[in-house]
Amino acid sequence: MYGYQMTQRAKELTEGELEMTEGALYPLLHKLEGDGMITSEIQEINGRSRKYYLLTEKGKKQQAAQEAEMRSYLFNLNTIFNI
Amino acid sequence: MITVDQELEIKAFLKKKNLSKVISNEIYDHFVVQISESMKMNTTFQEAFLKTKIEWQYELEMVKADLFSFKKIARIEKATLQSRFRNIILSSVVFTLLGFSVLFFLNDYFHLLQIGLLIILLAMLFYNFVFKKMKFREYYELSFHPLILRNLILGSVLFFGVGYFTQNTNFWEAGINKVFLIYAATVQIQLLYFRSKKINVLL
Repeated sequence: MYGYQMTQRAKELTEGELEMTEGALYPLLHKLEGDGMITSEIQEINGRSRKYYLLTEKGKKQQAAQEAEMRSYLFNLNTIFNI
Repeated sequence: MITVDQELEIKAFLKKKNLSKVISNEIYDHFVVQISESMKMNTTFQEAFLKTKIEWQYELEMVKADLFSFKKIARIEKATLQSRFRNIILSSVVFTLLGFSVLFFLNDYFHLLQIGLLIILLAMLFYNFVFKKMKFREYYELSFHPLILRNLILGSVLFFGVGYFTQNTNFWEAGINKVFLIYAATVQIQLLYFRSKKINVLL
């Protein structure tokens, strides 16, 4: 996925609830790239360079771990508030 | 559909922000797609362009490169570079502390650490020059970059100052100075590594 696509996908999945600040996304992507969580490849689209980002194996592991952590957190919150 | 003239207008706007090529290309593509999408909803180019500029206003605002610098760069560039530079400094400090432990506990092996770092440094230089990843002018600019010089001056004052007042034997043999050279070499190696990967760390 490329930057703009990510912002739109987040908006679409959350039905407009989550609006990512366009410019805040790129420093974050560059940081993740530096940390080896994602990798990028540049493709020529209509004469422009478009940078696509992909998760690395390290990134996939990190994603799975953080997802599990978030699920557990939400489960606990749900348990507390459903008392 | 965006015309060639409109594309040139976007490019001219981004050029004024003095962004690095990588970031500039990425933001340019983002601008074109964002404006094109807005124009699909019966908005004129000028309206869509203005809306996009407003949405990017904070990130594209020109700010001081760092506390002591007169140079102004876009906030988005500053955020990216600061994050990378901070990581370099942090990992160098951690490695220096390890070096200090070797000096303190395994003094006989400290010279091996120094030789190892020197070999890596020379190998990185060799690789960058031979495979044309870097020109000599770029190496010169990198070595005398204000951010690096400030760090080195600060480090020199701190390390050599401490060394001078705490060592009463040969000043240049003081352990603290050896450790500082480890720090300087580690910073240099990382800068060369990022350079070889064409990742901009310094402006």
